[in-house]
Amino acid sequence: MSEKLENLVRDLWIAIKEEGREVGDKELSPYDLEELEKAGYVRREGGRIVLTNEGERVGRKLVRLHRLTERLLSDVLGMEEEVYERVACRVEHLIPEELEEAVCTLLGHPRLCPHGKPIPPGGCCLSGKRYVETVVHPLTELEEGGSGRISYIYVENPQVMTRLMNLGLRPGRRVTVLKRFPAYIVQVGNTQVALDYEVASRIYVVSGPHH
Amino acid sequence: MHHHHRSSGEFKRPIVLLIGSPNVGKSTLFYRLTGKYAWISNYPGTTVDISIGRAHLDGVEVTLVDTPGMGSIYAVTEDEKVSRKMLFETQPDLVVHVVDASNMDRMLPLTLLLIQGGYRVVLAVNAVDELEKLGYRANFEELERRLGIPVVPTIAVRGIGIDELRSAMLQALRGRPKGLQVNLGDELEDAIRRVASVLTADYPVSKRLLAILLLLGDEEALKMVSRAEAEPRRITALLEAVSRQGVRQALEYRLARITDEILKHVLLAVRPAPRPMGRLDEFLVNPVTGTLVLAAVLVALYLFVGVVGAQMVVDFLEEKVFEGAINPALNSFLEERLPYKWLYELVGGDYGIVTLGLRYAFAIILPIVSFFFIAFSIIEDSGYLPRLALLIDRVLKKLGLSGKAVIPLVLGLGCDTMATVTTRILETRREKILATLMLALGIPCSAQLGVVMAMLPGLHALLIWVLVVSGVLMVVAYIASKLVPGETPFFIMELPPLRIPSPRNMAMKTLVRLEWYLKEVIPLFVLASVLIWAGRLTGVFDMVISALAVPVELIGLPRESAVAFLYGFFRRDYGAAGLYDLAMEGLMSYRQILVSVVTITLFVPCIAQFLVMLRERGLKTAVAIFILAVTVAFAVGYIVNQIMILAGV
Repeated sequence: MSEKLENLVRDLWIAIKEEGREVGDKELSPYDLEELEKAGYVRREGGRIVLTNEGERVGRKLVRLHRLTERLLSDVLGMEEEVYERVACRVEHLIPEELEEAVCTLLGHPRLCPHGKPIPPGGCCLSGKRYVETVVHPLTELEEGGSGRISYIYVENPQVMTRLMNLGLRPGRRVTVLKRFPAYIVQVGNTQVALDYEVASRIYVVSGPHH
Repeated sequence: MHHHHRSSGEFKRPIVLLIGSPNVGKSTLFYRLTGKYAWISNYPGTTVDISIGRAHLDGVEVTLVDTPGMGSIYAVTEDEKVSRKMLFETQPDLVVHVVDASNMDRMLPLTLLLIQGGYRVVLAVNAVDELEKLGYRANFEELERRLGIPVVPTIAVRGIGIDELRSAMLQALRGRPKGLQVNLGDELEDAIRRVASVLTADYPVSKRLLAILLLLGDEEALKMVSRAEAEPRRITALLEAVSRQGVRQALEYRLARITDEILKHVLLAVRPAPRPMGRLDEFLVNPVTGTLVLAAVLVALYLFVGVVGAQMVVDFLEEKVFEGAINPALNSFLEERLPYKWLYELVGGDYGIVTLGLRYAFAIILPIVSFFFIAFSIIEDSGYLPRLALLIDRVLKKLGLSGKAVIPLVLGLGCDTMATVTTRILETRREKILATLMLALGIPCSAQLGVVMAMLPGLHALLIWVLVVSGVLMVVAYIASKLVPGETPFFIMELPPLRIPSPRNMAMKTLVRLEWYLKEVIPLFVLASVLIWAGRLTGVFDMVISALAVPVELIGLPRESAVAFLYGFFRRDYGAAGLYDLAMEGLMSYRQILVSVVTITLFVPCIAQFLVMLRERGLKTAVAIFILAVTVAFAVGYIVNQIMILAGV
């Protein structure tokens, strides 16, 4: 989804769900509206724009991310209001799903954004998680059956790097640890690869939600 | 798009290269396309083997080349370097990229780059049945449409899709190079355009691909350009000016994105994927059950090769055919017709080319290695070896080797000479040296094993022999791993799915290996016969034997056994066989038999293995290993002898 589309869904959610306003179909450009409909986020009902279930879910998530980002930028990084408002609009789109809970926990599950608007709670707030687990770990710290997205690979030997790349172990790909002993067996795509501890410990992953 | 300038004229057969990663079924496809026959040859200046054959495409005959495994455009391994060089230098009329259907996501980026290279490309998507087993359906017409090149689904092991591939190849050969021109992003495209614009010479590969390779910092491409361009400094200056930071990541990222986008429209998941690890898989890689399986495999291997092959078949060929028929007939014929004794001894007698060299090669070694190669092809094709490698990786790491080294080590139980060649698959020079050392020192080949087994008096002696030899092997390998410099080994290995080997494939592999054996090793046996003959005739042997008699007597063996040790170099098991004769004649005690068997096992490799060591590892390393083996063999023999004397055996 494009940044522009994300912003539209977020603003629509705030208007419709939070402020309880009705949004007429003339308020958006015909082109944007068509895009939103095509993506399955909204539908038109007698001159009004209504969020679909998916639109509601995505909008809520985006609002949560936006406000969490504002908190992060103002509380932790100490940015001024006019700066963080501008930066937040860009940064929020870059935060991967896996990091959202970590940011929220780090901030102590804030209820309100710096402007005093409510932050829709996430799973982490409800379970009252107290500590942030490190988000990026070496593959060797995953349990058997655990999976994550490869964030970076740190090896000096170019031969090792190329072998890993050729087998599909490259940043962005999801890996699952199938076995940890006597050697690591990981699954990436439809390929199973055996690795020794040294190589596995050089592959850093962002551990994802458990499936 | 570039044009091919073939100096050899139109009447020469078109050249078709088969390109692809290891393990995708490239060689199986090669045999299917060529029918049966291939020349295996060394790529000039390297130790990498390539197969060349002829394929008929509806009456048009082409030269088909099976290149070594190549997974990406960056050439790292020796195999990849050779494949890349061939891609550049043979000016192929067609490239068939073979990919594994289940792993298209990581293999299609190379297809895209081959298309950028201006080649005529046909994509063979192999093992489509495996993809279906994983729960996917693929729309190959869609893939063809998106890539803009012919796409043929195949199942090479079952011969499915081969005819379709043939006609797609023929059609592509008749057409012009075509295919999807990818957009690699503004920044990269701009850099590529700038570099390509200053390439003025004629190249066997498109300027676009050449520019990409130059931007990647590829040395081979830079060499090619430096040779061809009138002003190579313009290129180097430009390359310095263009930012090359992160080109590789950017390129890979773009290609991966394009591939994912294509596959989104090609692959359809129809049902959930099966359990990632089957029961059998768990069983094989579990340290306890896996070790039991390994023991069972080794016993089965021994029964098949050692008992059926080495005893039954060899007995028949050796005793009935050679000893019973050929040798006596030849000898009496030679005695009647040949006036010169030296000539008679060259061909016949006890050590002649026919009576010893060929008898040995065809009656003893050939059946044993044939049986072993059959067994090994089953082990290989079933996918057991990678499981064994990962099971044993931690143990081998202590000896400076990675789990992968288990492949040459197991192969060594069949033929140490071929196993020494196979050490090429190991990643680092250090590993290659260490594995070569282990093979030379203490891994007995099937021929030697046969005689040793027959000679050892009882299970008790067998146990001592196994413990001493494997113990010495471990200790020497451990010490050597501390002394040989080089990187620590790493272990990365693909685990292909376990499968039942196809008989056709097994037969093919066995035949190719046997052909290699006949061509490479048999001449060496003939050479050995000639050397023995010359050594005896000139009296050189007598001198070596008297020299060897010193250490032989030092380890408590009868003086006569020095002969066996010398001949052991020419034919590894003959050394053992010579001792066997002495033992049968009652010239050796229990202690002496055990000491001699341990010593001969550790003693130097046979002449064939030594020559291969020389070729693969160089003079210095080969001689060092040779001297080490002799020293260790006699030192261990001495110690075992002293201990047994002390123990009163």
